Amino acid sequence: MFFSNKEKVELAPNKSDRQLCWDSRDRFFECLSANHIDNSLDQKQLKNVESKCGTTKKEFESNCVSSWIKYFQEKRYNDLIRQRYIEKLESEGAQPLPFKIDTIKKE
Amino acid sequence: MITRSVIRSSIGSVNRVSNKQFTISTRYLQKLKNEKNEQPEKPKKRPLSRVAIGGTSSDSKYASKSQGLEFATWKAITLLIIGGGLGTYFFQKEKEKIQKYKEMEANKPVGKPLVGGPFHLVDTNGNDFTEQNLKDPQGKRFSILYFGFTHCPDVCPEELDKLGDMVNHLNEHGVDLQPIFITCDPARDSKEAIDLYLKDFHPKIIGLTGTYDEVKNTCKKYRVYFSTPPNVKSGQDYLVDHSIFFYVIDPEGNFTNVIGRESSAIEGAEKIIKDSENFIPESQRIEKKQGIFGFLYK
Repeated sequence: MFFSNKEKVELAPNKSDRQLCWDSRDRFFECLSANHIDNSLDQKQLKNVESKCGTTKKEFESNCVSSWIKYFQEKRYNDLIRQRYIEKLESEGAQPLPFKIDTIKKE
Repeated sequence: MITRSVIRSSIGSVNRVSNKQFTISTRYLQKLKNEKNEQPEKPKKRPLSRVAIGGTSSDSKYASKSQGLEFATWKAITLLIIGGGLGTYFFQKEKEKIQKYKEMEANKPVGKPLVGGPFHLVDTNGNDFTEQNLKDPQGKRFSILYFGFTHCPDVCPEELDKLGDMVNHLNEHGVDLQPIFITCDPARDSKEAIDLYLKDFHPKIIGLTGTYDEVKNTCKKYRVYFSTPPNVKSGQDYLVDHSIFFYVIDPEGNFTNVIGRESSAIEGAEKIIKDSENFIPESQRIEKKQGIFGFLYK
């Protein structure tokens, strides 16, 4: 197989690593919410993010692996959009479905 | 068959007893007739208006004798109660069983779902693991499959914690469950990596990996979608997209249910408990369909 040439495969973060990452992520996102920044990956917002939440961002980036850093910020933005959309629909009098839909969620 | 012959014999004995009773009572009737034939001579004929309403003392004497209670002697009554009770109990029990069976059949989706099939992977100790390992010769243990990868940011760890809770909950209710974690990222998830990763979760969870083709085949069999980003350089960090369901497998290795992310550990566990209560091994299912009450199961 193409991956059988023994390369140093990095190990996944363990439980304490994950917790550390999640905690610093939560602090960073709290700061973003307090400063009304929705999309922290937006190029136009980048300056704003750096000036207001620079320290929490650095901490977040040092505690999490690179793929997660992007993932969590994308997820936060998507969740915000979705949440607002649901709120908008509900304010227009939309009713939640009386049954569950099994959704396929991506990670 | 045994119960049936017992019932037949008990019916026979009821007949015999009642025949006996019948002959006795006819004999008694004849006796009564004789008495009646003798009687008219004895008392003087009185006008009807003189006869006391409700009969004289002599009348009531005959009345008490001719009350037709001979049919219901204590023997007949006890036989009726025992026979009737046994019959009711037996039929009630059978009815309940049939109802449960039908309920299970109704719960099954129409046709056989095309989920599952032969696969070959290795566990963290390097032993082969195939679809045969999902089967339990005792017909008791259910299995649950979860597809994920060790670099998973937030969903997999949550779901694996949930899996541990499910195993514990089922254990308290006496249901044996074999939890299995299958990686979708064989390039990075070696046996050692998975072993290390699963140390943070329930100790019963079995971790499986294999070559890329083996993993791809398994995922295909279980209708799991996963995509590794193309052109990944070695050492580069990436995420794997994959569908996140728990697949419940019965002791015969057949897929029975899925548990989605929205259900809690307790809800998922209750689903499995229900499945295990409704599970009837294949041999018993065939036996039932071929048995004397087979028509009830069709």
